[in-house]
Amino acid sequence: MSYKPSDRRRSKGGIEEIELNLLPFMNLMTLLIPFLLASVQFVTLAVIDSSLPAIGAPQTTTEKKDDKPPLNLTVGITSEGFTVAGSAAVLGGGDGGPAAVADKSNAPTVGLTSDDAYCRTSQCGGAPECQHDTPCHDFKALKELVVQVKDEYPDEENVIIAPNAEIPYHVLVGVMDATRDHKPEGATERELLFPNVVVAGGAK
Amino acid sequence: MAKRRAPPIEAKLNITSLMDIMTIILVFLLKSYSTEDIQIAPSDDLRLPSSSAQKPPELAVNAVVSKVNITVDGVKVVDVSGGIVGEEYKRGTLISPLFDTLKEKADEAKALAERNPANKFKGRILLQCDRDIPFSLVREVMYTAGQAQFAEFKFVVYKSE
Repeated sequence: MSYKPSDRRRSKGGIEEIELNLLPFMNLMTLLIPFLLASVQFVTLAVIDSSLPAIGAPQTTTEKKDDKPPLNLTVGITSEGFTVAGSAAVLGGGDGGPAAVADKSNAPTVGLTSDDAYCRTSQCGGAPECQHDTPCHDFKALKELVVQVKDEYPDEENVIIAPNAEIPYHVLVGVMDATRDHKPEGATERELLFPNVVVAGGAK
Repeated sequence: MAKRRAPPIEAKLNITSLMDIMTIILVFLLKSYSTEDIQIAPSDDLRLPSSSAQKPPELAVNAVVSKVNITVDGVKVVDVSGGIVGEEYKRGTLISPLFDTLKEKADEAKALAERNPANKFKGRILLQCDRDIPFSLVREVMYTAGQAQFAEFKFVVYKSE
């Protein structure tokens, strides 16, 4: 139970009620808000680096500590999936190195996935209304594969990506994402995989 | 003698609640305030892909490849239809109007670098490409930029995390 506040003071007018003059502050707000609204950014951008090997700045050649041949990790993108190859062999389909990737006659190392939910999130993000293709490229499987390659070759940082002419740009970006870094479970920092990307011309 | 009018009641606006709203909006806007160099105009013809890349963009020549045209620093260079640049604008893989514009930009930047050695020409180019354009067009743009001595590509993407 609460009591009625005492009105003794007020009725006698002993203490005057003081009111804060907020008008100057309001003026400030009305000026600041339009100004900040004009410069607000709703999307944050990022960039992915890639250089042109032929006429770009020469790569700084670091002395090799061991006699391991360079890996030359190559990811070919076709409409059927990804073909992953090193200098020694193509994974999961014959041998022949990067030449076989350019050839693209072999079966892909990582095929398409027909998981509709996965395709939706990988192509639309969170947007509800969006056209997405199923089956689609399986970046998750590619990442798992690339992580294994990185374990095998921890010093390698270069990857060559060779997409076919008809491959949409976002698939190329997806492959760059899959090969650049990964976040191991429970870790807070991202681990770099193959951050130096070279986009090859691919077969015409 | 005229009848004395009653003193008018002083109306007071209570703006304290409005102040509350303003303060919250102000904090929110300050949080998303940005002074980034590159501006993008989102439209149906230019939807950038999203990526987990974390590197912030920096100032460079800005080439935009949308579904309908290619622009360089806001100036339209050539039309695109169905992911293809018309054959009349091309010399092999080279897109001629794009090459001319980029060459001009490169020459400008080099002339500037001569006078100001701190401002070296690094051949950086920001590429904003629509997510659905085919790689063949991206490759042509990259090849053309390479011929115009822009060899350091920066693909602009939405940061998704």
